[in-house]
Amino acid sequence: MANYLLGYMILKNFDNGKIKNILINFTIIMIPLIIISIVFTFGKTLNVSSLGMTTFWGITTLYIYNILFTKSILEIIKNKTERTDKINAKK
Amino acid sequence: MLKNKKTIALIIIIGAILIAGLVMTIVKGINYDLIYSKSTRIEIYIEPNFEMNDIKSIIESTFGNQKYIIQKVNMSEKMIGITLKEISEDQINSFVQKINEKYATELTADDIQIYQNSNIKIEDIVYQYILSIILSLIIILIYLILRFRKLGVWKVLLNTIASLILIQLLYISIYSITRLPINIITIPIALLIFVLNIFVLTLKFENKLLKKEFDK
Repeated sequence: MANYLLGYMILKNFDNGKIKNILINFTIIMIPLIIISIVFTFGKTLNVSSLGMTTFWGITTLYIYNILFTKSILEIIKNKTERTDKINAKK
Repeated sequence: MLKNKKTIALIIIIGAILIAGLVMTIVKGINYDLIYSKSTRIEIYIEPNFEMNDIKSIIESTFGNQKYIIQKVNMSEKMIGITLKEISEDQINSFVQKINEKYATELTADDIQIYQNSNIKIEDIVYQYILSIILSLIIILIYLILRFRKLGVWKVLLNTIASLILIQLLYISIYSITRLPINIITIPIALLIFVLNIFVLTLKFENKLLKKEFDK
C-alpha cells in the first residue's frame, strides 16, 4: 500500500521537482509507520516484534527499491524524452 | 444532500454492527479457538516411523468430529502432542489400541502423558500487546499534533482516537457476530488494522493540510 502511494506520488509530481523532494514528502507521511515499526520491534512478545521487524524491513526495502530502480528508470526515460524532443525540434 | 444521506446510512450501518456485536457478546460470549480454551493435551511417543495422515485418521476415528490440534513435540519427531476439548478414558484406551494395531507397538494408557490446559481470557491475550501499542500511540499522537496543529490540536487528537477505537470495535463486533473463534491470528490482524488505520489517517490529515494551505 505504501509502495503504491509512493509510485503514485512519483508519477504525479515527477515533472515538478526532483525525486528527492518527493521522497521527503513521502517520508513525512510514513513517520507514524516508522514509529510503529521501531516501537513494535522492541516489543516483548514474539508477535509484536515480528510485526515490527516485518514493517521495518518492508519500509527499508521500499526505499532501497525505489531509489535504486524507480528513480533510475524515470530519469532514463526523462533524459530520452528530452533528447527526442531536441532532435524533433532541430528537424 | 446525497453526501449527507450516505453519511447517515454509514453511521446507521456501523451503529447496527456495533450493537449486534455487543448483544452477541453478552448473550453468547466470546468464541475462543481450541488453543485458548479449556482443553486436554495428550502426548505419545511412537517408536516406528509414522505418517501424520495415518495418525490424523486414527484421531478422527477415535475422537469423532471434535476439533483437534496435532503437533510433533520433540526434535526426533517421534513424539506427538494432540490437543482436544474433551477426552474420556475409554477414548484414550481405544486410541492406544489403534496405535498398537497400526504400528505393532505395545503401548499402554500409562505411556500417554495427559495435561489439562486452562482457558485463556481475552484480557490475558491483549495484555502482552498493550505496552507497545500505547507507547507507539503516544509518540504518534505527539507527532500528529505537532505536524497538523494548523488543523486544530483537539480535532486531530479526537479524530485519531475516535477512529482507532471505532475501527477496533467494528473488528471485534464482526468477530462476535460471525462467531469466528479467537485464535492466534486475531490479534496480529488487529495490529495490522491499527497500522493501516494510522497510515490512512496521516494521509487524510496531510491532504486536509494541503487543501487548507492551498485555500489560503
